Amino acid sequence: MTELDRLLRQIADGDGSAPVVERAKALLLYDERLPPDLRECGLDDDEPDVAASALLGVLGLDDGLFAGLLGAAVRSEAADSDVPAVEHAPLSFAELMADATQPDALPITAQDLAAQEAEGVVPVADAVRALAGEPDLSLSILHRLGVRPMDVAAAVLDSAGDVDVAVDVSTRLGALAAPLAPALQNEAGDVDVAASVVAPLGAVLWPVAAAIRSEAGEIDVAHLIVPSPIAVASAVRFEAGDVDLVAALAPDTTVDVAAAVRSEAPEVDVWSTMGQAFEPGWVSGLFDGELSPVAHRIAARRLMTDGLASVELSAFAEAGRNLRHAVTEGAGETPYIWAAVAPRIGIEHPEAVPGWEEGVVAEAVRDRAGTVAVEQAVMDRVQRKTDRVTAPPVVVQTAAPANNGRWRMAGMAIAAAVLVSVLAGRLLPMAGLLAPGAAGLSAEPVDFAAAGEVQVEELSYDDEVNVMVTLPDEDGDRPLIIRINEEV
Amino acid sequence: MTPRRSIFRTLRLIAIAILAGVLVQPAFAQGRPPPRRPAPAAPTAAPISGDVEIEVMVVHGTDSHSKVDARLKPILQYLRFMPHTGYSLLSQDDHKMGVGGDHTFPVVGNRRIEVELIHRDAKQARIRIRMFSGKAKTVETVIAVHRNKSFIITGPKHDNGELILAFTARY
Repeated sequence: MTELDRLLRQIADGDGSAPVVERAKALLLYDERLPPDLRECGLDDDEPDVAASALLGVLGLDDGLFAGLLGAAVRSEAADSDVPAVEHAPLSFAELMADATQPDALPITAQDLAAQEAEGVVPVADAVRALAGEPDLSLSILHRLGVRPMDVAAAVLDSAGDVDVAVDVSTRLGALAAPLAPALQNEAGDVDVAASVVAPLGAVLWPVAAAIRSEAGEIDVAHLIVPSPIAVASAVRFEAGDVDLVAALAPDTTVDVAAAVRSEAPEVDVWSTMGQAFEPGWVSGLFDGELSPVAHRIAARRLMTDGLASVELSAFAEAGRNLRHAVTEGAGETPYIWAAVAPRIGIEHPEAVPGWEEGVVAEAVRDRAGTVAVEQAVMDRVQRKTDRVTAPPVVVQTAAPANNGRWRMAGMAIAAAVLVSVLAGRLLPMAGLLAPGAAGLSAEPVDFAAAGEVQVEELSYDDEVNVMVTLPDEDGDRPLIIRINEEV
Repeated sequence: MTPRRSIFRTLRLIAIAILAGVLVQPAFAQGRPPPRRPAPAAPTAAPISGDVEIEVMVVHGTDSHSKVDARLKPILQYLRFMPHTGYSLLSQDDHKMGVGGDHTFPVVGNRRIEVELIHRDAKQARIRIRMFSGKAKTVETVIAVHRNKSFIITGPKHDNGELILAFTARY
């Protein structure tokens, strides 16, 4: 007999206080002799003694009505469905009542039955209920009737599958699982675990670095690692050698100055000018007129200071003369062909030069040179070069004529010629045959002012004309020219 | 000496005399002998007359021909700056004037040139030139030119060409 049994008997006897009943309920929950449903609601708070009696009957510990049978029936219902039913063949109610009417089998007397019938209560059901409580006979009845009980829960599980109610509920409620750490922090607050651990130690934590330093002193870790300073530059140079940083940083930054200048400025071939004047054959080029104007001027200036070049130039001139003489002797005189060619190319007067009057150059040279006595020089040269040996002149002594009018006649002729020429110079201009100054302009030379010798200080002109001033150049070759354009 | 040789000698002397007479004609053809001026050793040392002789040479330039007047030999080298092929001397005139004085030079084509001497010193002369075509004044200019130097005013139209005026201040 367990404690639960004893407590149930005590409660059934009417001696069940509240603590006893509570204690019985607690033990009832874990009593496996009873079905689970009966464990939870086996003890009725309103009539605990009746419930206790019923439980005793189910447990087979009650000697009252249906002693043992009710318990067997209840246990058979609480067991599995395959559990066979009662050992005995099912009794009819009459048989049951017949058994029950046995005085040694049934605790209920006839008087009790009569009293119950008088009250209108089905005595059996009430007795059973009073003794057994509210047993669930459905399963055994269904089994006896041949109806397989349906495991509704299993059926629902098979249909619905695993249902995570918690997640469904949480989802439905919209509750989010709180992160653990914030939840902990929310609950616990800021907890310095280290301090919490150390605090119970009851001592102030020493800073580790200060502790080490106080013990070991200042430690130059770098010096310990590197005992001697390393010349980084020397090390790098030893490993890499001399590195041309400029070439390494800008390997392709050479600036082609010549190309840049040439791209900006046009091609200027200075050597063709300068070099031409100083090539080994520049003297020959100067003699033959093959140099450019600039090179010619350079060569001419150099010729004035270079004596050897002057000698060479003279040699070229001599060679030219000898060559022409040899060619002429060998080939003969060159026929004059211009007179035959000129008419064929449309030149009517081959000897006429446009802009030049015949004899103008000769007269200009004569005016410039003045009177040049060449006769004596020519005669001296002719006499000097002649190799002829002349016989001494034979002087014939003749008597002087008594009368010699030769010089008188010659003098008169000369005087007459002079008179005629003077008269011609005076009369011809008057006759319009010779313009004044026929032999040229005034005796005074016309010298045009160069730059710096003439200046236009004021200039005004009519609205119907236009004036353009050309200033003179430094050399005086170009005069000051004030040009009036009357065609505006 | 044989008579033939003496005749040739005489004829040669006559020819020389004639040639000498021709060559000295310019000194007499203008009506008065040219002034004999000694070559100045330095401009400051030369005697300076109070008057200035303004000389105006009128030349006709044209493209209708390509002949150049022989009398223009002294200025032939300067004519190359002119845009013509043929040149002829039309007139040459000069006039002496003192400071403040003026003179009018007649020019072909109903034109005239008034020249006024404004200032004169040892180095240069300042002259005012007014050019008229008929009664209308076309150009007026003041030019400072060194002693015995010349300049050109050109452009007035004449006879299918233009006039080239060369001015010279002599003193």
